[in-house]
Amino acid sequence: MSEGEQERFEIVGAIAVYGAPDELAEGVVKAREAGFTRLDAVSPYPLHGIDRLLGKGPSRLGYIAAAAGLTATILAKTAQWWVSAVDYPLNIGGNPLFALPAFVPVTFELMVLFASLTTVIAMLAVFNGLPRYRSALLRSTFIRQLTCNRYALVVDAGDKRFRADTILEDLSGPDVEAVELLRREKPSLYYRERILSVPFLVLILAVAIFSSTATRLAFRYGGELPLYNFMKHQTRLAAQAPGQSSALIRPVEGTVARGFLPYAYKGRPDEAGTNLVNTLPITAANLARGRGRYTVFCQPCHGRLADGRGTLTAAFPKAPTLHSKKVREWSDGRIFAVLTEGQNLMPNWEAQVSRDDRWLTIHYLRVLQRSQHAPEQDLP
Amino acid sequence: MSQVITDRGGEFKHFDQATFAQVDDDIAAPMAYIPGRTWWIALAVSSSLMLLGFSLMAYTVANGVGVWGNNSPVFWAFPIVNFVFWIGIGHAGTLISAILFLFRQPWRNAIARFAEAMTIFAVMTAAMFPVIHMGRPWLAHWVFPYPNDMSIWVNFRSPLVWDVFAISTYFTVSLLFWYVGLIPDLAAMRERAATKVHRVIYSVLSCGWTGLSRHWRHYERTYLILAGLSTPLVVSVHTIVSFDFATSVIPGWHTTILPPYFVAGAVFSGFAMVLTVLIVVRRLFHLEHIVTMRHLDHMNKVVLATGLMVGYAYGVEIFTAWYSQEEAEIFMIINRMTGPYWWAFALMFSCNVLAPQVHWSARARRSIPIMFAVSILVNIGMWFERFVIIVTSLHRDYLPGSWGMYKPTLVDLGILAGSFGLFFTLVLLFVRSLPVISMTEIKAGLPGAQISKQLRVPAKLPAVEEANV
Repeated sequence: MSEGEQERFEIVGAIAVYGAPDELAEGVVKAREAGFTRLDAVSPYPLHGIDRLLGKGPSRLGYIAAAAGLTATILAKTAQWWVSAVDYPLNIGGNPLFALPAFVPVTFELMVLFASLTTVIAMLAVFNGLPRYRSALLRSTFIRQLTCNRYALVVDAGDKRFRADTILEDLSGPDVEAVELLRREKPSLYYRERILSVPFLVLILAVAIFSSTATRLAFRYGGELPLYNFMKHQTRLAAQAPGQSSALIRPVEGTVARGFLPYAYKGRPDEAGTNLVNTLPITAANLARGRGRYTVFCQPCHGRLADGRGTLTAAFPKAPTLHSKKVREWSDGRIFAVLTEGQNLMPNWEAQVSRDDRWLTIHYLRVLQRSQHAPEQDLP
Repeated sequence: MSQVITDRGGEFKHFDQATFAQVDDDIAAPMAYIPGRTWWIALAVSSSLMLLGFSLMAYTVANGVGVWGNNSPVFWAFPIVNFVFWIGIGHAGTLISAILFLFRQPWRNAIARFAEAMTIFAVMTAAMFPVIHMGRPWLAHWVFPYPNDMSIWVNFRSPLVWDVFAISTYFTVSLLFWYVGLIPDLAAMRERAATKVHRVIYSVLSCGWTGLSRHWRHYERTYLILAGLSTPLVVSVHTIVSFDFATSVIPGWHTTILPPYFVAGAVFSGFAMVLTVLIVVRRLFHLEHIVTMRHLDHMNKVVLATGLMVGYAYGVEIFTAWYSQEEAEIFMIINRMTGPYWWAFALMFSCNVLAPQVHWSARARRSIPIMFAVSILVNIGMWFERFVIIVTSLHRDYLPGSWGMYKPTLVDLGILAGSFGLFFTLVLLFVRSLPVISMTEIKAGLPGAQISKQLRVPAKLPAVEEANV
């Protein structure tokens, strides 16, 4: 080791290597009797009973696991209650929204997950201070043997009895195979042993700045790049858009939809009354059809008997009776004009009821009028 | 600056250090040399199957699940059969590593690592099936509850949601358990590493483990806690998988024996799979002196015991159908045994109940050809058990008008073959990259490995502080 390297490194402890567990155990007791207090044992596998010799009780990780499990249980139950009973209450077969037994499986799984993760992370990072890649032990010449078939006693340089010049003799003994000073690079501003070292934090910061900048730029200039395409986002052709030759194209100029011939007497109901004639035959089927249209479109306001006593009168102005002399004396064409164009508060039905259906409705209206004003000769 | 003061030149006082070094050498051997032709042939076959499976999955995703045989009334069919089969395979690993650990069965040490790895690979294989079965794998995250712009949540009263939590927890905890067990071995591999690349990888993975007793103290407690948590976890996982069936009203599914029946079946099939693979691996990598006949004998006893439990469950299903005098249940059992899928039931019954009976004989339990044959038969039988449960229950339910038959397509069969390819590819890569047997646990159990002297510690010594080296 050159002079420059000597300066970069500092002595942080010493180890004594033993060849067998029993020898290590005796070495630990002897070192403690000699007054060493900052010491530990190294072994390639857990040595049972070494904790007693070092005066250490069992690990307290169980409390961590219990606390994590309990926290997860409470959180999981609360979250499931909030989701299922408060934020998104779904009635499924009338079952209770807060179904305690049904929430047990997820609660249990989350308890196990949270407790396991917490225990392992606490064991590694908190209790053992890992990952730790710059431990002085890792620089020892004997580390390979110490992970295979050798055992060691470690003394920290911070021990009150530690003297760098005599420690190797202090640790020697008939059972000791080898002794060695442990060295480590001196800590500097940029270097700490733990994962929270300056270079690592700088790296994290750099990654954060880079990724957020890249994301921002990607959204700014690249637009959103969805991973997959929902139907509502996909390209499509609008129906009857001008100038397109595929999809649903615009009808030729002057095209008329079936059953919807243009109405020639717009704004001239009396002319319609004189010129338009109901040509559809009066048959049982036609009257049934007319009755159906009447029931759907007329009855709510004009009533079942066309007497103006409809069911919608609470919300709407009362519709007039259709048994007035005026309406009875109107020609079919005059009534057709009302159905087609509307009148006062009555809407027009041109779009909803086809031309033929309007004529059939008028046939049925005549039936109603005759039923309420039956002349004597109609009686049997 | 080291100073060797005693060189004993191979003269050991209490125990044999050479044995310890030999254990490490033997276990690390498969990673140290260029593998033989057998390994390459095996890898070529299994990775080709894996690629076949992946291509057929891509084909399915591109064309929709209509390329499978699933159709009314059998909508669950192959994907769910394979899912339940592979999840079950995983259960043996956790049983060996956690439950046998809690019961202090030291023979588990030789097989625990391998079985845990198989658990992880099996769960990975299994988890693919629900994802592709849902048809739009790019929306698979919808099964998890997360705040979303659709303002909806998953239904926490549905067993399918429980399944999501059970499988993902099971995978995570198995991975943790496996990794925690690996840390000291990774440290040993770090020190044995032949190249710089190996050294860096093993260094990072081993977290700088040095084997301080302070670390071992927390490490061992963590291992115990994980074993304690994994034990109810493994029982819960297949219980919840069985809830997918048991909470429905389909005859053959709607039964309370399903949870214990599924768990026993899972352990049964898992042990069979561990046996199948381990018999090959110990032969291929010359580990017969570490995974000995005694281990295989114990595993065969577990196979026999769980096989009897599974047989008992078959019996109870038949008895319950008769005892309930429920027409649909009786019909289901009769249809299952004598209907169009009678051959699947016969295969299941003979492979799962009859075949393991040879293990009553100690000679059969210690004969490699016999136990290998039985383990293969049990694997086949347990796959068909899931086929019987799913297909024969669904294809004829209450309404004869909706009866139908199920026939898998070539795509179905290809994806099943692909799942075996994926599993064995992962196993083959694992045996070449990580220690398949725990060096640490084997060494800790060797004669003379522990402190044998009863040392007295004087009472008035100052307390030991942390040595921070």
